[in-house]
Formats: sequence, structure tokens, C-alpha cells
Amino acid sequence: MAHVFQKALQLLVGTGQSGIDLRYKKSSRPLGGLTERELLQLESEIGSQLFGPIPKGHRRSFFNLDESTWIWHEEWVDEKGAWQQSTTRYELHDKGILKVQEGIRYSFLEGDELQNLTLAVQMYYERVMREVYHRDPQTGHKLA
Amino acid sequence: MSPNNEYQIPTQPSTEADMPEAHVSLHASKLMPLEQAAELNGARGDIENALKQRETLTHEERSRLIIGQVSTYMASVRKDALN
Repeated sequence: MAHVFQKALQLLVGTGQSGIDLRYKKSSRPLGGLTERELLQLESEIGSQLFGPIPKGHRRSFFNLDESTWIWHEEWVDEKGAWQQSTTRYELHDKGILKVQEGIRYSFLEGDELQNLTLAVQMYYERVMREVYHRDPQTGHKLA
Repeated sequence: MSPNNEYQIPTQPSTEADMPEAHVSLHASKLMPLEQAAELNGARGDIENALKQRETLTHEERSRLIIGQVSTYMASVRKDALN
């Protein structure tokens, strides 16, 4: 499990050695030459906005890691000034969507939480297809 | 799956893996894209079977299906963008 978390976080925040400013690539070359990490960062920018306002001092990431994994990562500084972070992995299994958090018993999503994730995934798809990949979400065809 | 592919209608939809692709089922609540796809592909009977099957899914199964298909499709689109 730690390996997947590590991979997800490394893809998002990198190793600290590559200070790439995505704004330049966005405007000049929409997707050309972007790495997987950079694409995931762009997707996560949208994903982070799907669950309402982000509390002041928090940093949130939400993105699709691969064919069977979604990642929610949140960082913040608590009232004592200590840095905190929480990572949740949503895994697709034949039986359902397994919620995996370190130190917490794994459980299959159900009820409102499953409904909310499903809606978020659908909104993610709609927005990421249009805003990152410039494709019509319904047909998959490139937007003019 | 390539994002440029047209809707792909399974000949014998019987399992989750056989269900139509993400951009079809994502809009399953509207049903129109699925029906239009059936018309386009001349697969009316097959798609009706798929729709009947979908109607029998539980809330959890339906969510699993949607999230699974979006995940597969997003990974495919990302891979295309990298190549």
C-alpha cells in the first residue's frame, strides 16, 4: 500500500527538483510534451475543486491515478502549527469500491459516501475531458 | 480503447466487462446516447439487453460500473496524450 501512496504523491509533488511552471505549457503547447506527473497535476487542480471550498491553509488533491485507483490527498497545518496530511485511496474491486486509509480499517463504500464519490468522478470526467484534454466528454472527439 | 472510437456495442452483453464504454454508460441516466449508439450501430436488440441488465443493477453495482468505466477511460485518454 505504501508503494502506491508513494507513487501517487511523487507524481503529484515530485522530488522537489523539477520546478516546472505549468502555466506556460498550458498557454503555448496545450498538452505537447507534458509528463504523466504534469497531466495528473492538471487533472488534480480540477479534482480538488469538486468537493467545495478548500479550507484556508489546506492543500487538496483528488485525481485518477490509473485504471483502478483514485487518490484523495489533503495537507494542512493544525492549530498547534504541526503539518498534517491524510491520503485516501479508492480501489476498484469486483465487489465494489474499497476505501483504503493508513491506520484505519478498510471498508467498501456505500450510501451517501459512494453516491458522492460517483458524482465527483462523473464531474471530474466531464471537466477534465474538456479542460485538460480538450475532448467532448460524450463522444471522446477533440473539441474544435 | 481509443477516445476516437465510436460507441462499441457488445454482441452479447452479459457481464460488466461487456457493457458499453465509459462515455456511453456515464450518461446512462439519460439513456439517449446509448439508444442513439444502438441505432448507429444497428444493434437495437443488443443494447436493449444491456439496458435491461443495467436496470437490475443495485445502487452499489451501478456506482462501481460508472467509476470503473470512467477510470479505464481516463487512463486511456491520458495514455493517448502522453504518446
